Amino acid sequence: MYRIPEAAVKTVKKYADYTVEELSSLSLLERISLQNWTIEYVTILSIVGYIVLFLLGSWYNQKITKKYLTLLTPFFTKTFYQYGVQKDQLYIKDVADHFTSYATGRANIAKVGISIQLKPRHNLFLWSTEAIMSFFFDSIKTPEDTVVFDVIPFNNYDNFIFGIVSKLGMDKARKLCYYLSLTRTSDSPKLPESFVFMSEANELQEKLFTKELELALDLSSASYIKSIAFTDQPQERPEKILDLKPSRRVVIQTKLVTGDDQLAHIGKVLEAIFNVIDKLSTQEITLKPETAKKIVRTREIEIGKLKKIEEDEKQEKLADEKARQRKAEREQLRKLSPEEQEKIEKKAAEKRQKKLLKKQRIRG
Amino acid sequence: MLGMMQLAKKIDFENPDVLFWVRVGYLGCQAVALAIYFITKAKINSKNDLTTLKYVEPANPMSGESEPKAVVTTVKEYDLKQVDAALKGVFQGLAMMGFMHLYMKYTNPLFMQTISTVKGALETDIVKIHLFGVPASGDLKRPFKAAPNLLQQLTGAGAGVKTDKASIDAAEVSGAGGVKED
Repeated sequence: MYRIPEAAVKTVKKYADYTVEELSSLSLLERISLQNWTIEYVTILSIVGYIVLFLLGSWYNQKITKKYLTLLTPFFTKTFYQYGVQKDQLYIKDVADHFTSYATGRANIAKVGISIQLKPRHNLFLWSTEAIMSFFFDSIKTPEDTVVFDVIPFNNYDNFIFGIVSKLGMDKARKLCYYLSLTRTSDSPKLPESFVFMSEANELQEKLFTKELELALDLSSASYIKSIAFTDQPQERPEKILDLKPSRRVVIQTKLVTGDDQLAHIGKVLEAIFNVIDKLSTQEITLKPETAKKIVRTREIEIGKLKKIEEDEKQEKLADEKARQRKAEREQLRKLSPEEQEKIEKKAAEKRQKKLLKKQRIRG
Repeated sequence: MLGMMQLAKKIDFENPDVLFWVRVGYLGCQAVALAIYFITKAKINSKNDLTTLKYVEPANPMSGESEPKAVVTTVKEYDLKQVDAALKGVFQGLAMMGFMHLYMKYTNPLFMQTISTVKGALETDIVKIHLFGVPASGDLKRPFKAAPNLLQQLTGAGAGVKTDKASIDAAEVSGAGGVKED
């Protein structure tokens, strides 16, 4: 017969198996070590692991930002008084994957906002989920390192929308930007094959697409310069007429790149844009009255659309109010005594009769 | 398909050996289908056809759209989108089959789906163009005309994509972008 070895039978004595006397004779450390701590170890280790990964990702994002903004410095310090949020601070960390910087102090330009959106490297779960889910759902954006330059001019000039958009992802750009979806897309022999114009009028491409800007773009820059757009309209589709109020700016959307050649292109584009703004501000570039009229027409159509929505909402509210009133009246009627009810009903019937008579008289 | 159904009746799915080979066959065919799509994708990327393509998509009342939507894209992007849609289909099929086979323990659909994914992949318009070099004209002219699905037939909506200049001109500047999503 098979015999179980004695050592296996003798099980390890658990905490609960000890008597009170035995326990009280042990020291505190001995008593603690009697417990099973596996779950606690696993928990603490995973928390520590998560924190370490978070700090690593966060640190890496910060490193990228610092490197990128430092590399951009020569392009800004050439003409701007201040580059960075403060004299000795280059950027502000908003969250672990979003950073903001700023440049100001140049003729004709109020400020340049630099907004850096990075991959959520601090949160591996979010990062991987977004990366996978973005393939299956259009509404989830693929995580990407992007930089948006928001150039706000100092002076007023004509309202218009004019964009140079990379052909890679131009449909997405049109979907995401209200202002781009107001424009007509056209190819041009002046542009590299990988870019298109999205503008409200042909005149804009002739006047705003300067030689300098032309030289700043080449075939391969479409892979990191997503769009350059002069606009007076918001990026989000307005829901109130007030949102349509023009606020002129130039939005340059790029991927975050650190190659020398790529940065040189971005620098050239920025410089060309600043110079175009100079020309617009000094009225060196002005639009023909027909073009201006056409642009105003587009705005009016958009205002008309929103007005119609507001009107419809008002009507709906009015109808609701009326229905509520009628209901309240009926409710009140029900509360009265039967005689009074009859009286009121009679009165209403008489009123109706009178109205009918009046109508007949008019017709006759 | 009918032949497959007849064949499926004759196979003893209870036999673990048969079951194993049915599983291998299914997964192998899925892999072949995926490979076909990935090769097509690589071909599209290497061709890098940046010709601009404009068309108007009909409004989709299911997602609350009231106006037809202009799409401005390139041939490359359009083609990649087609392949991605097909790939999504394969992954969906895999997920469905995973549920049916592993959870509900049906083996029959596993067998039925084996050939049809590969057949489907080879019959996709985009694969025909890039893998077999069929010229993209006639029925294969971009944008492809999708057969209206059941719901569209019932509601009479969604007459398909439009490519005439008038509708493109009207829809292109309608300001449909930048809708807030929340």
